[in-house]
Amino acid sequence: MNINNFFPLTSLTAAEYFNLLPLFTISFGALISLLCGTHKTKGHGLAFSCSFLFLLAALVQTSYALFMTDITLLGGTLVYSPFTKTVSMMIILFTLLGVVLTYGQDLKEGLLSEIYALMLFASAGMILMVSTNHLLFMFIALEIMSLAIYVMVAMRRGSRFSSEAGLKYFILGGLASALFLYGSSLIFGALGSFELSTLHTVLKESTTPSIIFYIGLGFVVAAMLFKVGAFPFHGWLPDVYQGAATNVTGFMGAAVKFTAFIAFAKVVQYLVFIEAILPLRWFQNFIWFSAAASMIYGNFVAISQNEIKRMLSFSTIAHTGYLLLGLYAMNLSEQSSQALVLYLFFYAIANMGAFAVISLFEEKNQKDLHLEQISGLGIKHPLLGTLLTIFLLSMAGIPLTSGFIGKYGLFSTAVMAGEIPLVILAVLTSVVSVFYYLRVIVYLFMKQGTSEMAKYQRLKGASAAAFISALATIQFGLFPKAIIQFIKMIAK
Amino acid sequence: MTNEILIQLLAAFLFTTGFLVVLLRRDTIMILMGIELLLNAANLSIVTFSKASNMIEGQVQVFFIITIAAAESAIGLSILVNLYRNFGSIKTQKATTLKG
Repeated sequence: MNINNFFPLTSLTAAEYFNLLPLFTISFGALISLLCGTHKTKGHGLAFSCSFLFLLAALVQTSYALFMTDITLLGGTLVYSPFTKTVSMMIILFTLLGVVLTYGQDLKEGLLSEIYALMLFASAGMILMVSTNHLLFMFIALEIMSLAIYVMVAMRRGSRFSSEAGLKYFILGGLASALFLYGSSLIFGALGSFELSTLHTVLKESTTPSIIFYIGLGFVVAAMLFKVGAFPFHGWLPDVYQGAATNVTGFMGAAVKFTAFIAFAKVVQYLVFIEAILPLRWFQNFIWFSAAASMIYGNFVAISQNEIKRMLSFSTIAHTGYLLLGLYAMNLSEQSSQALVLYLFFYAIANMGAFAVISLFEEKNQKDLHLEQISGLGIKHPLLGTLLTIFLLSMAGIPLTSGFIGKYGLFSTAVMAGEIPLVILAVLTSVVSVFYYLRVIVYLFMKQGTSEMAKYQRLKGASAAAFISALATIQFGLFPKAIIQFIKMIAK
Repeated sequence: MTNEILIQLLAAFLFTTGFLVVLLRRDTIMILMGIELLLNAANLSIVTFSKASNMIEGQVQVFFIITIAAAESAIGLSILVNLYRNFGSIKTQKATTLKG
Protein backbone atom coordinates (compact mmCIF):
# COMPACT_ATOMS: atom_id res chain seq x y z
CA MET A 1 0.00 0.00 0.00
CA ASN A 2 1.37 3.35 -1.04
CA ILE A 3 1.73 5.88 1.72
CA ASN A 4 0.71 8.66 -0.67
CA ASN A 5 -2.85 7.34 -0.66
CA PHE A 6 -3.25 8.69 2.85
CA PHE A 7 -2.27 12.15 1.72
CA PRO A 8 -4.19 12.79 -1.48
CA LEU A 9 -3.50 16.55 -1.52
CA THR A 10 -0.25 17.68 -3.10
CA SER A 11 2.25 19.03 -0.61
CA LEU A 12 4.80 21.78 -1.04
CA THR A 13 8.21 20.89 -2.38
CA ALA A 14 11.27 21.98 -0.43
CA ALA A 15 11.96 24.97 -2.69
CA GLU A 16 8.37 26.19 -2.51
CA TYR A 17 8.40 25.74 1.22
CA PHE A 18 11.56 27.79 1.72
CA ASN A 19 10.25 30.58 -0.45
CA LEU A 20 6.92 30.76 1.37
CA LEU A 21 8.42 30.40 4.83
CA PRO A 22 8.97 34.14 5.54
CA LEU A 23 5.30 34.77 4.80
CA PHE A 24 4.22 32.01 7.19
CA THR A 25 6.60 33.32 9.83
CA ILE A 26 5.26 36.85 9.60
CA SER A 27 1.59 35.83 9.70
CA PHE A 28 2.22 33.44 12.56
CA GLY A 29 4.21 36.11 14.38
CA ALA A 30 1.33 38.52 13.98
CA LEU A 31 -1.06 36.05 15.62
CA ILE A 32 1.38 35.37 18.46
CA SER A 33 1.94 39.04 19.10
CA LEU A 34 -1.84 39.55 19.08
CA LEU A 35 -2.04 36.98 21.87
CA CYS A 36 0.92 38.43 23.79
CA GLY A 37 -0.57 41.89 23.62
CA THR A 38 -3.43 40.84 25.88
CA HIS A 39 -1.13 40.61 28.92
CA LYS A 40 -2.36 43.04 31.53
CA THR A 41 0.79 44.96 32.37
CA LYS A 42 3.53 43.94 29.96
CA GLY A 43 1.34 43.63 26.86
CA HIS A 44 3.11 46.27 24.79
CA GLY A 45 6.61 45.05 25.56
CA LEU A 46 5.72 41.42 24.89
CA ALA A 47 3.96 42.21 21.63
CA PHE A 48 6.93 44.31 20.57
CA SER A 49 9.53 41.66 21.30
CA CYS A 50 7.43 38.93 19.66
CA SER A 51 6.93 40.86 16.44
CA PHE A 52 10.57 41.96 16.42
CA LEU A 53 11.86 38.40 16.79
CA PHE A 54 9.51 36.99 14.16
CA LEU A 55 10.46 39.73 11.70
CA LEU A 56 14.15 39.01 12.28
CA ALA A 57 13.48 35.32 11.63
CA ALA A 58 11.62 36.21 8.43
CA LEU A 59 14.55 38.39 7.34
CA VAL A 60 16.99 35.52 7.86
CA GLN A 61 14.70 33.13 5.99
CA THR A 62 14.33 35.49 3.04
CA SER A 63 18.06 36.02 2.75
CA TYR A 64 18.53 32.25 2.95
CA ALA A 65 16.09 31.71 0.08
CA LEU A 66 17.41 34.67 -1.92
CA PHE A 67 19.47 32.87 -4.52
CA MET A 68 17.39 29.75 -4.96
CA THR A 69 16.17 29.14 -8.48
CA ASP A 70 13.05 31.01 -9.61
CA ILE A 71 9.80 29.25 -8.86
CA THR A 72 6.15 30.05 -9.42
CA LEU A 73 3.30 28.95 -7.21
CA LEU A 74 -0.42 28.43 -7.85
CA GLY A 75 0.05 28.24 -11.58
CA GLY A 76 2.04 31.44 -12.00
CA THR A 77 0.11 33.54 -9.51
CA LEU A 78 3.01 33.98 -7.10
CA VAL A 79 6.46 34.52 -8.59
CA TYR A 80 9.56 34.07 -6.48
CA SER A 81 12.57 35.46 -8.27
CA PRO A 82 15.67 37.11 -6.75
CA PHE A 83 14.06 40.47 -7.53
CA THR A 84 10.79 39.86 -5.68
CA LYS A 85 12.70 38.30 -2.80
CA THR A 86 15.01 41.31 -2.52
CA VAL A 87 12.05 43.65 -2.57
CA SER A 88 10.28 41.65 0.13
CA MET A 89 13.50 41.71 2.15
CA MET A 90 13.46 45.49 1.95
CA ILE A 91 9.82 45.50 3.06
CA ILE A 92 10.68 43.34 6.07
CA LEU A 93 13.50 45.78 6.88
CA PHE A 94 11.10 48.73 6.78
CA THR A 95 8.65 46.87 8.98
CA LEU A 96 11.43 46.12 11.45
CA LEU A 97 12.31 49.81 11.55
CA GLY A 98 8.62 50.67 11.91
CA VAL A 99 8.19 48.25 14.81
CA VAL A 100 11.27 49.68 16.55
CA LEU A 101 9.96 53.20 15.93
CA THR A 102 6.62 52.31 17.48
CA TYR A 103 8.17 50.96 20.68
CA GLY A 104 7.72 53.63 23.34
CA GLN A 105 5.59 55.73 21.03
CA ASP A 106 2.67 53.35 21.59
CA LEU A 107 2.44 54.10 25.31
CA LYS A 108 2.95 57.83 24.79
CA GLU A 109 0.20 58.14 22.20
CA GLY A 110 -2.12 55.61 23.83
CA LEU A 111 -1.96 53.22 20.88
CA LEU A 112 -3.15 49.70 21.59
CA SER A 113 -0.69 46.84 21.66
CA GLU A 114 -2.40 45.41 18.57
CA ILE A 115 -0.49 47.91 16.42
CA TYR A 116 2.46 45.51 16.24
CA ALA A 117 0.27 42.71 14.95
CA LEU A 118 -1.29 45.09 12.43
CA MET A 119 2.17 46.09 11.17
CA LEU A 120 3.02 42.44 10.65
CA PHE A 121 -0.26 41.76 8.84
CA ALA A 122 0.36 44.78 6.64
CA SER A 123 3.84 43.61 5.79
CA ALA A 124 2.51 40.14 4.89
CA GLY A 125 0.10 41.84 2.48
CA MET A 126 2.93 43.91 1.05
CA ILE A 127 5.10 40.86 0.42
CA LEU A 128 2.20 39.17 -1.37
CA MET A 129 1.56 42.31 -3.38
CA VAL A 130 5.09 42.59 -4.74
CA SER A 131 5.42 38.90 -5.51
CA THR A 132 2.11 38.35 -7.26
CA ASN A 133 1.50 38.56 -10.96
CA HIS A 134 -2.26 38.25 -10.91
CA LEU A 135 -4.62 41.22 -10.83
CA LEU A 136 -7.21 39.78 -8.45
CA PHE A 137 -4.56 38.39 -6.15
CA MET A 138 -2.94 41.82 -6.17
CA PHE A 139 -6.28 43.29 -5.12
CA ILE A 140 -6.52 40.88 -2.19
CA ALA A 141 -2.93 41.66 -1.13
CA LEU A 142 -3.66 45.38 -1.48
CA GLU A 143 -6.65 45.04 0.80
CA ILE A 144 -4.75 42.97 3.38
CA MET A 145 -2.26 45.83 3.49
CA SER A 146 -4.75 48.69 3.38
CA LEU A 147 -7.20 47.34 5.96
CA ALA A 148 -4.36 47.11 8.50
CA ILE A 149 -3.19 50.61 7.60
CA TYR A 150 -6.69 52.15 7.95
CA VAL A 151 -6.86 50.89 11.52
CA MET A 152 -3.34 52.06 12.29
CA VAL A 153 -4.11 55.56 11.03
CA ALA A 154 -7.25 55.85 13.18
CA MET A 155 -5.64 54.29 16.23
CA ARG A 156 -5.03 57.43 18.31
CA ARG A 157 -8.54 57.05 19.64
CA GLY A 158 -8.75 60.21 21.69
CA SER A 159 -7.49 62.44 18.94
CA ARG A 160 -9.86 64.21 16.58
CA PHE A 161 -7.21 64.56 13.90
CA SER A 162 -6.49 60.88 13.89
CA SER A 163 -10.08 59.75 13.55
CA GLU A 164 -10.71 62.29 10.81
CA ALA A 165 -7.59 61.16 8.96
CA GLY A 166 -8.68 57.54 9.35
CA LEU A 167 -12.11 58.30 7.92
CA LYS A 168 -10.67 60.19 4.94
CA TYR A 169 -8.17 57.47 4.19
CA PHE A 170 -10.80 54.75 4.57
CA ILE A 171 -13.34 56.35 2.23
CA LEU A 172 -10.88 57.34 -0.50
CA GLY A 173 -8.86 54.14 -0.14
CA GLY A 174 -12.00 52.03 -0.39
CA LEU A 175 -13.00 53.93 -3.52
CA ALA A 176 -9.56 53.34 -5.06
CA SER A 177 -9.62 49.64 -4.18
CA ALA A 178 -13.06 49.24 -5.75
CA LEU A 179 -11.85 51.04 -8.88
CA PHE A 180 -8.91 48.65 -9.05
CA LEU A 181 -11.22 45.65 -8.73
CA TYR A 182 -13.72 46.81 -11.33
CA GLY A 183 -10.89 47.80 -13.65
CA SER A 184 -9.28 44.37 -13.44
CA SER A 185 -12.70 42.82 -14.05
CA LEU A 186 -13.08 44.85 -17.24
CA ILE A 187 -9.58 43.91 -18.38
CA PHE A 188 -10.48 40.28 -17.74
CA GLY A 189 -13.64 40.70 -19.77
CA ALA A 190 -11.77 42.20 -22.70
CA LEU A 191 -8.74 39.92 -22.82
CA GLY A 192 -9.78 36.81 -20.90
CA SER A 193 -7.11 36.64 -18.22
CA PHE A 194 -6.06 38.12 -14.89
CA GLU A 195 -2.43 37.08 -15.27
CA LEU A 196 -0.19 40.05 -16.12
CA SER A 197 2.27 38.08 -18.24
CA THR A 198 -0.53 36.37 -20.17
CA LEU A 199 -2.21 39.74 -20.73
CA HIS A 200 1.11 41.08 -22.00
CA THR A 201 1.44 38.38 -24.65
CA VAL A 202 -2.24 38.66 -25.64
CA LEU A 203 -1.85 42.42 -26.05
CA LYS A 204 1.27 42.05 -28.16
CA GLU A 205 -0.51 39.69 -30.54
CA SER A 206 -3.77 41.59 -30.94
CA THR A 207 -2.95 45.18 -31.73
CA THR A 208 -6.53 46.42 -31.37
CA PRO A 209 -8.01 45.57 -27.97
CA SER A 210 -11.59 46.64 -27.38
CA ILE A 211 -12.64 49.86 -25.68
CA ILE A 212 -13.52 47.93 -22.52
CA PHE A 213 -9.83 47.19 -22.02
CA TYR A 214 -8.93 50.87 -22.09
CA ILE A 215 -11.64 51.77 -19.58
CA GLY A 216 -10.47 49.00 -17.26
CA LEU A 217 -6.84 49.99 -17.63
CA GLY A 218 -7.77 53.59 -16.86
CA PHE A 219 -9.48 52.48 -13.63
CA VAL A 220 -6.51 50.35 -12.59
CA VAL A 221 -3.96 53.08 -13.34
CA ALA A 222 -6.06 55.67 -11.48
CA ALA A 223 -6.31 53.39 -8.43
CA MET A 224 -2.58 52.75 -8.39
CA LEU A 225 -1.77 56.45 -8.80
CA PHE A 226 -4.05 57.06 -5.82
CA LYS A 227 -2.19 54.51 -3.73
CA VAL A 228 1.22 56.02 -4.52
CA GLY A 229 -0.14 59.54 -4.00
CA ALA A 230 0.62 61.12 -7.39
CA PHE A 231 -0.73 64.49 -8.48
CA PRO A 232 -4.36 64.29 -9.57
CA PHE A 233 -5.10 61.76 -6.81
CA HIS A 234 -2.97 63.21 -4.01
CA GLY A 235 -5.72 64.96 -2.00
CA TRP A 236 -5.79 62.47 0.87
CA LEU A 237 -2.06 62.36 1.46
CA PRO A 238 -1.25 65.52 3.49
CA ASP A 239 -4.26 65.11 5.78
CA VAL A 240 -3.63 61.45 6.44
CA TYR A 241 0.10 61.92 7.03
CA GLN A 242 -0.62 64.77 9.42
CA GLY A 243 -3.45 63.15 11.30
CA ALA A 244 -1.90 59.74 11.89
CA ALA A 245 0.44 59.12 14.81
CA THR A 246 3.97 59.95 13.69
CA ASN A 247 5.27 56.40 13.85
CA VAL A 248 2.41 55.26 11.62
CA THR A 249 3.20 58.11 9.22
CA GLY A 250 6.81 56.98 9.06
CA PHE A 251 5.77 53.40 8.35
CA MET A 252 3.29 54.52 5.69
CA GLY A 253 5.76 56.86 4.02
CA ALA A 254 8.32 54.10 3.77
CA ALA A 255 6.71 50.71 3.37
CA VAL A 256 3.33 51.52 1.83
CA LYS A 257 4.80 53.88 -0.74
CA PHE A 258 7.53 51.38 -1.60
CA THR A 259 5.08 48.52 -2.10
CA ALA A 260 2.51 50.50 -4.03
CA PHE A 261 5.16 51.83 -6.34
CA ILE A 262 6.69 48.42 -7.06
CA ALA A 263 3.23 47.02 -7.83
CA PHE A 264 2.39 50.04 -10.00
CA ALA A 265 5.66 49.62 -11.90
CA LYS A 266 4.77 45.99 -12.53
CA VAL A 267 1.27 46.78 -13.83
CA VAL A 268 2.54 49.59 -16.04
CA GLN A 269 5.39 47.54 -17.42
CA TYR A 270 3.11 44.71 -18.49
CA LEU A 271 0.04 46.62 -19.61
CA VAL A 272 1.01 50.17 -20.63
CA PHE A 273 4.50 50.06 -22.11
CA ILE A 274 3.68 48.26 -25.35
CA GLU A 275 4.93 50.06 -28.42
CA ALA A 276 2.68 48.36 -30.96
CA ILE A 277 -0.61 49.71 -29.59
CA LEU A 278 -1.03 53.37 -30.34
CA PRO A 279 -3.83 54.37 -27.90
CA LEU A 280 -1.59 53.26 -25.03
CA ARG A 281 0.47 56.37 -25.79
CA TRP A 282 -2.30 58.29 -24.02
CA PHE A 283 -1.62 56.39 -20.85
CA GLN A 284 2.12 56.96 -21.17
CA ASN A 285 1.51 60.66 -21.70
CA PHE A 286 -0.73 60.70 -18.66
CA ILE A 287 2.07 59.23 -16.54
CA TRP A 288 4.38 61.90 -17.97
CA PHE A 289 1.89 64.60 -17.05
CA SER A 290 1.35 63.15 -13.60
CA ALA A 291 5.12 63.08 -12.98
CA ALA A 292 5.56 66.71 -14.03
CA ALA A 293 2.52 67.94 -12.10
CA SER A 294 3.49 66.04 -8.93
CA MET A 295 6.96 67.57 -8.93
CA ILE A 296 5.70 71.11 -9.45
CA TYR A 297 2.72 70.89 -7.11
CA GLY A 298 4.51 69.04 -4.30
CA ASN A 299 7.54 71.27 -4.20
CA PHE A 300 5.78 74.60 -4.54
CA VAL A 301 3.07 73.86 -1.99
CA ALA A 302 5.64 72.52 0.47
CA ILE A 303 7.33 75.93 0.47
CA SER A 304 4.33 77.59 2.07
CA GLN A 305 3.92 75.06 4.89
CA ASN A 306 4.89 75.96 8.44
CA GLU A 307 4.27 72.56 9.97
CA ILE A 308 6.92 69.91 9.53
CA LYS A 309 4.81 66.79 9.05
CA ARG A 310 2.63 68.56 6.52
CA MET A 311 5.68 69.91 4.71
CA LEU A 312 7.19 66.42 4.55
CA SER A 313 3.95 65.02 3.19
CA PHE A 314 3.95 67.54 0.35
CA SER A 315 7.58 66.71 -0.31
CA THR A 316 6.46 63.08 -0.51
CA ILE A 317 4.20 64.04 -3.41
CA ALA A 318 7.20 65.69 -5.09
CA HIS A 319 9.28 62.55 -4.59
CA THR A 320 6.48 60.53 -6.16
CA GLY A 321 6.92 62.80 -9.17
CA TYR A 322 10.62 61.94 -9.43
CA LEU A 323 9.77 58.25 -9.10
CA LEU A 324 7.17 58.53 -11.85
CA LEU A 325 9.89 60.08 -14.01
CA GLY A 326 11.95 56.95 -13.40
CA LEU A 327 8.92 54.84 -14.23
CA TYR A 328 8.33 56.72 -17.47
CA ALA A 329 11.98 56.23 -18.38
CA MET A 330 11.53 52.49 -17.79
CA ASN A 331 9.58 52.46 -21.02
CA LEU A 332 12.70 53.62 -22.82
CA SER A 333 15.50 51.77 -21.05
CA GLU A 334 15.81 48.74 -18.82
CA GLN A 335 18.31 50.28 -16.41
CA SER A 336 15.75 52.66 -14.98
CA SER A 337 14.09 49.91 -12.98
CA GLN A 338 17.27 49.40 -10.94
CA ALA A 339 17.62 53.12 -10.33
CA LEU A 340 13.97 53.23 -9.32
CA VAL A 341 14.35 50.52 -6.67
CA LEU A 342 17.50 52.15 -5.28
CA TYR A 343 15.85 55.57 -5.08
CA LEU A 344 12.78 54.13 -3.37
CA PHE A 345 14.93 52.28 -0.85
CA PHE A 346 17.08 55.29 0.05
CA TYR A 347 14.13 57.67 0.17
CA ALA A 348 12.11 55.34 2.40
CA ILE A 349 14.95 55.07 4.92
CA ALA A 350 15.46 58.84 5.09
CA ASN A 351 11.71 59.42 5.40
CA MET A 352 11.40 56.92 8.23
CA GLY A 353 14.31 58.53 10.06
CA ALA A 354 12.91 62.04 9.71
CA PHE A 355 9.55 60.97 11.17
CA ALA A 356 11.39 59.13 13.96
CA VAL A 357 13.14 62.36 14.99
CA ILE A 358 9.88 64.31 14.77
CA SER A 359 8.13 61.78 17.00
CA LEU A 360 10.79 62.39 19.65
CA PHE A 361 9.57 65.96 20.06
CA GLU A 362 5.80 65.54 19.91
CA GLU A 363 3.52 65.45 22.87
CA LYS A 364 0.49 63.23 23.19
CA ASN A 365 -2.20 63.84 20.56
CA GLN A 366 -0.25 66.71 19.07
CA LYS A 367 -1.23 67.48 15.50
CA ASP A 368 2.08 68.63 14.14
CA LEU A 369 5.38 70.34 14.97
CA HIS A 370 5.30 74.02 14.05
CA LEU A 371 8.50 75.59 12.76
CA GLU A 372 8.45 77.99 15.72
CA GLN A 373 8.55 75.04 18.05
CA ILE A 374 11.80 73.70 16.65
CA SER A 375 13.71 76.98 16.49
CA GLY A 376 16.91 76.60 18.46
CA LEU A 377 16.25 72.90 18.99
CA GLY A 378 19.48 71.88 17.28
CA ILE A 379 21.51 73.90 19.77
CA LYS A 380 19.79 72.32 22.74
CA HIS A 381 19.86 68.77 21.35
CA PRO A 382 22.84 68.78 18.95
CA LEU A 383 22.78 65.06 18.22
CA LEU A 384 19.09 64.86 17.27
CA GLY A 385 19.37 68.09 15.31
CA THR A 386 22.22 66.59 13.31
CA LEU A 387 20.22 63.44 12.63
CA LEU A 388 17.26 65.43 11.29
CA THR A 389 19.69 67.48 9.19
CA ILE A 390 21.13 64.31 7.68
CA PHE A 391 17.68 63.04 6.69
CA LEU A 392 16.58 66.36 5.22
CA LEU A 393 19.82 66.68 3.23
CA SER A 394 19.34 63.14 1.96
CA MET A 395 15.83 63.97 0.77
CA ALA A 396 17.14 67.13 -0.90
CA GLY A 397 19.79 65.05 -2.66
CA ILE A 398 22.96 66.63 -1.27
CA PRO A 399 26.17 64.60 -1.85
CA LEU A 400 27.58 62.35 0.90
CA THR A 401 24.06 61.15 1.69
CA SER A 402 22.26 58.24 0.08
CA GLY A 403 19.61 60.54 -1.40
CA PHE A 404 22.23 61.97 -3.74
CA ILE A 405 23.18 58.53 -5.03
CA GLY A 406 19.53 57.66 -5.61
CA LYS A 407 18.70 60.91 -7.36
CA TYR A 408 21.86 60.83 -9.46
CA GLY A 409 21.14 57.29 -10.59
CA LEU A 410 17.50 58.04 -11.38
CA PHE A 411 18.17 61.22 -13.35
CA SER A 412 21.20 59.90 -15.22
CA THR A 413 19.41 56.77 -16.42
CA ALA A 414 16.47 58.95 -17.50
CA VAL A 415 18.87 61.20 -19.47
CA MET A 416 20.45 58.16 -21.08
CA ALA A 417 16.99 56.95 -22.01
CA GLY A 418 16.44 60.26 -23.79
CA GLU A 419 13.80 61.83 -21.55
CA ILE A 420 15.52 65.24 -21.27
CA PRO A 421 12.63 67.75 -20.68
CA LEU A 422 11.26 65.94 -17.66
CA VAL A 423 14.74 65.59 -16.15
CA ILE A 424 15.34 69.33 -16.53
CA LEU A 425 12.03 69.97 -14.76
CA ALA A 426 12.98 67.49 -12.02
CA VAL A 427 16.36 69.12 -11.42
CA LEU A 428 14.82 72.60 -11.31
CA THR A 429 12.09 71.57 -8.87
CA SER A 430 14.57 69.75 -6.66
CA VAL A 431 16.51 73.00 -6.45
CA VAL A 432 13.27 74.53 -5.17
CA SER A 433 13.00 71.70 -2.67
CA VAL A 434 16.41 72.52 -1.20
CA PHE A 435 14.90 75.82 -0.03
CA TYR A 436 12.31 74.33 2.29
CA TYR A 437 14.56 71.56 3.56
CA LEU A 438 17.26 74.10 4.42
CA ARG A 439 14.72 76.35 6.10
CA VAL A 440 14.08 73.67 8.69
CA ILE A 441 17.83 73.35 9.27
CA VAL A 442 18.11 77.14 9.64
CA TYR A 443 15.35 77.06 12.25
CA LEU A 444 17.08 74.18 14.04
CA PHE A 445 20.52 75.73 14.36
CA MET A 446 20.44 79.45 13.65
CA LYS A 447 17.39 80.78 15.50
CA GLN A 448 16.99 81.55 19.15
CA GLY A 449 14.88 79.16 21.16
CA THR A 450 11.49 80.45 22.29
CA SER A 451 9.33 79.50 25.22
CA GLU A 452 7.24 77.33 22.90
CA MET A 453 10.15 75.04 22.13
CA ALA A 454 9.12 71.40 21.84
CA LYS A 455 10.05 69.18 24.74
CA TYR A 456 12.24 66.15 24.21
CA GLN A 457 10.36 62.95 24.91
CA ARG A 458 12.45 60.07 26.11
CA LEU A 459 11.65 57.27 23.65
CA LYS A 460 14.14 54.45 23.25
CA GLY A 461 12.55 52.98 20.15
CA ALA A 462 12.33 56.16 18.11
CA SER A 463 15.91 57.12 18.97
CA ALA A 464 17.13 53.69 17.91
CA ALA A 465 15.19 53.88 14.64
CA ALA A 466 16.58 57.36 13.95
CA PHE A 467 20.16 56.21 14.60
CA ILE A 468 19.83 53.13 12.41
CA SER A 469 18.32 55.15 9.55
CA ALA A 470 21.04 57.80 9.85
CA LEU A 471 23.76 55.15 9.79
CA ALA A 472 22.23 53.59 6.68
CA THR A 473 21.84 56.98 5.00
CA ILE A 474 25.50 57.88 5.56
CA GLN A 475 26.78 54.39 4.79
CA PHE A 476 24.99 54.14 1.45
CA GLY A 477 25.91 57.73 0.67
CA LEU A 478 29.63 57.20 1.16
CA PHE A 479 30.01 53.62 -0.05
CA PRO A 480 27.15 52.94 -2.47
CA LYS A 481 29.06 50.52 -4.70
CA ALA A 482 28.09 47.33 -2.91
CA ILE A 483 24.34 47.92 -2.94
CA ILE A 484 24.36 49.20 -6.54
CA GLN A 485 26.13 46.07 -7.70
CA PHE A 486 23.77 43.94 -5.67
CA ILE A 487 20.71 45.53 -7.29
CA LYS A 488 22.28 45.18 -10.73
CA MET A 489 22.91 41.50 -10.11
CA ILE A 490 19.33 40.99 -8.91
CA ALA A 491 17.61 42.83 -11.73
CA LYS A 492 19.90 41.51 -14.50
CA MET B 1 -25.38 36.44 -24.92
CA THR B 2 -27.77 39.31 -24.54
CA ASN B 3 -28.40 38.29 -20.94
CA GLU B 4 -24.73 38.68 -20.17
CA ILE B 5 -24.58 42.12 -21.71
CA LEU B 6 -27.63 43.09 -19.66
CA ILE B 7 -25.97 41.89 -16.47
CA GLN B 8 -22.81 43.80 -17.37
CA LEU B 9 -24.89 46.92 -17.87
CA LEU B 10 -26.50 46.32 -14.48
CA ALA B 11 -23.05 46.00 -12.91
CA ALA B 12 -21.93 49.23 -14.55
CA PHE B 13 -25.10 50.96 -13.33
CA LEU B 14 -24.55 49.70 -9.77
CA PHE B 15 -20.94 50.81 -9.89
CA THR B 16 -21.89 54.30 -11.05
CA THR B 17 -24.55 54.53 -8.34
CA GLY B 18 -22.06 53.48 -5.67
CA PHE B 19 -19.50 55.94 -6.97
CA LEU B 20 -21.97 58.80 -6.88
CA VAL B 21 -23.14 57.82 -3.40
CA VAL B 22 -19.56 57.83 -2.10
CA LEU B 23 -18.80 61.16 -3.70
CA LEU B 24 -22.01 63.05 -3.02
CA ARG B 25 -23.52 61.84 0.25
CA ARG B 26 -22.42 63.50 3.47
CA ASP B 27 -23.56 60.71 5.75
CA THR B 28 -20.81 58.25 6.69
CA ILE B 29 -23.20 55.29 6.86
CA MET B 30 -24.38 56.01 3.33
CA ILE B 31 -20.77 56.26 2.17
CA LEU B 32 -20.04 52.84 3.70
CA MET B 33 -23.01 51.40 1.87
CA GLY B 34 -21.74 53.02 -1.31
CA ILE B 35 -18.37 51.28 -0.94
CA GLU B 36 -20.16 47.95 -0.45
CA LEU B 37 -22.19 48.63 -3.58
CA LEU B 38 -19.00 49.31 -5.54
CA LEU B 39 -17.42 46.04 -4.48
CA ASN B 40 -20.59 44.07 -5.20
CA ALA B 41 -20.93 45.62 -8.64
CA ALA B 42 -17.37 44.54 -9.40
CA ASN B 43 -18.19 41.04 -8.08
CA LEU B 44 -21.20 40.77 -10.36
CA SER B 45 -19.12 41.85 -13.32
CA ILE B 46 -16.35 39.33 -12.56
CA VAL B 47 -18.82 36.46 -12.18
CA THR B 48 -20.52 37.28 -15.46
CA PHE B 49 -17.30 37.61 -17.39
CA SER B 50 -15.93 34.34 -16.07
CA LYS B 51 -19.23 32.58 -16.81
CA ALA B 52 -19.09 33.89 -20.35
CA SER B 53 -15.53 32.66 -20.90
CA ASN B 54 -16.16 29.35 -19.04
CA MET B 55 -13.47 29.96 -16.44
CA ILE B 56 -13.91 28.87 -12.86
CA GLU B 57 -11.08 31.14 -11.70
CA GLY B 58 -13.00 34.38 -11.39
CA GLN B 59 -16.03 32.72 -9.81
CA VAL B 60 -13.87 31.29 -7.02
CA GLN B 61 -12.02 34.55 -6.44
CA VAL B 62 -15.34 36.31 -5.82
CA PHE B 63 -15.65 34.48 -2.49
CA PHE B 64 -12.40 36.06 -1.32
CA ILE B 65 -13.65 39.46 -2.38
CA ILE B 66 -16.90 39.00 -0.44
CA THR B 67 -14.84 38.17 2.66
CA ILE B 68 -12.73 41.27 2.15
CA ALA B 69 -15.83 43.42 1.72
CA ALA B 70 -17.13 42.14 5.05
CA ALA B 71 -13.82 42.95 6.76
CA GLU B 72 -13.80 46.36 5.17
CA SER B 73 -17.26 47.23 6.40
CA ALA B 74 -16.35 46.09 9.92
CA ILE B 75 -13.33 48.39 9.93
CA GLY B 76 -15.36 51.20 8.42
CA LEU B 77 -17.99 50.90 11.14
CA SER B 78 -15.37 50.92 13.89
CA ILE B 79 -13.76 54.04 12.43
CA LEU B 80 -17.24 55.55 12.32
CA VAL B 81 -17.90 54.82 16.00
CA ASN B 82 -14.58 56.43 16.85
CA LEU B 83 -15.53 59.46 14.76
CA TYR B 84 -18.82 59.78 16.60
CA ARG B 85 -17.03 59.69 19.96
CA ASN B 86 -14.68 62.49 18.96
CA PHE B 87 -17.00 64.75 16.99
CA GLY B 88 -20.46 63.88 18.28
CA SER B 89 -21.71 63.39 14.73
CA ILE B 90 -21.16 61.11 11.75
CA LYS B 91 -21.61 63.77 9.09
CA THR B 92 -18.47 64.26 7.08
CA GLN B 93 -18.74 68.04 7.07
CA LYS B 94 -18.22 68.13 10.85
CA ALA B 95 -14.82 66.47 10.59
CA THR B 96 -12.77 69.34 9.21
CA THR B 97 -9.98 69.90 11.70
CA LEU B 98 -7.30 69.17 9.11
CA LYS B 99 -6.86 71.52 6.18
CA GLY B 100 -7.95 70.32 2.76
